[in-house]
Amino acid sequence: MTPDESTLASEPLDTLDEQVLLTVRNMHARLDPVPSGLTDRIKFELTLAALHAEIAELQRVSLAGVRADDTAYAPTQSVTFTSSRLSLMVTLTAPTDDPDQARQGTITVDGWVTVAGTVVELRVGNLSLTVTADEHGRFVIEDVPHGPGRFVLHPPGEGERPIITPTVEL
Amino acid sequence: MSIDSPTAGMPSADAALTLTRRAALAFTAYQAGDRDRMSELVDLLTPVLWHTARGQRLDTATAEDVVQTAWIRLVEHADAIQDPQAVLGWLVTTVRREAWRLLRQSGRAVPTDEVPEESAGAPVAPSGDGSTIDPALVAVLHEGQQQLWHHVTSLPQRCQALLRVIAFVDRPDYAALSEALGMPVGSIGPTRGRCLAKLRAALLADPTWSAS
Repeated sequence: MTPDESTLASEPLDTLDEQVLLTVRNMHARLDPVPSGLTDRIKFELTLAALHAEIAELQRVSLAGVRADDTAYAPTQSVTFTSSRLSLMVTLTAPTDDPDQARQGTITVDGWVTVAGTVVELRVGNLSLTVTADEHGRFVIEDVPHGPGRFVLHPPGEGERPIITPTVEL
Repeated sequence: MSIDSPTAGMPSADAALTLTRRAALAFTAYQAGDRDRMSELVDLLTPVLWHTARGQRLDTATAEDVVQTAWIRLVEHADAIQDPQAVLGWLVTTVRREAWRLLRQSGRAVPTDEVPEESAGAPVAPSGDGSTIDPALVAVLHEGQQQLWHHVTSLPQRCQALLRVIAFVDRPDYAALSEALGMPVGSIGPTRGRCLAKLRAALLADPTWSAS
């Protein structure tokens, strides 16, 4: 280190240092940015770790086509998930001509889970919607916003680990 | 030629809330049961951890794993962290140790904090160095950034790693972060320290560099 550098090193930080560090920051942010989706993957992993959850497999996605009736054209989609302990089938319906304006742009989730009484939680963004499946395993979740979402299933019974599905586009 | 505006994206040194402080608030709330605050913490601190891992010369896939591992460890050990102000340092230390463990396992590069500072005067890019940046990417930097890139990569490896991480935190946090990176006390903050002095001297000696 030159004497010049030694003097520089012992001086307090000033605004020029701040500017230099800012350019260093911008340079690294440009050259080697945090990979897209990394924070979402981390959050998902943390959710699993916190829940000690089992991950369900996405089994099948089918487009049920367009169902026509007197009032609305409603595209529907069915998705099936399976895990070692239960299966979940959901049908997503987007009411396109609902007379209730507030319902426009949302979807309805009709579901069936193989274990009656399972508490079904749907997470979309920061929103969490929770219902309990009836004695036949059926449930309905209304007014669900569009976006990536996943289900967290809590089967009845003490100490049962939750089951979490992969994210699906709602 | 001019360098970037000092206001763009840079948390000012006298901001009421430094990164460490903001992280401490979110972590305290998380510890108290507000589980959603972890998500805020992930958004806040992942860039610092990413550049810590990459500064340790890990390739991108390994760096992702190491950063993810550090977060999982934090959730596992959340109750054991007494001082929420220490959470950033804790994560940076965890990333650095995990990186060191993997590098040693792969029998590859010597960890940067064991390279004597004065030994490396030239740009360090040993073969198999996972952190190597594609030259095509460097070409897209604007002129000022390319010049800075040249000066930064001429620094000793440990200085490059230090400045890279420090650039993403606020001035009051420099000293604590440099310690978490395994650097000797006084490496940076409250004084300039050797690494930044070297870079500053190089920039000032470059007639084409202007800080205006």
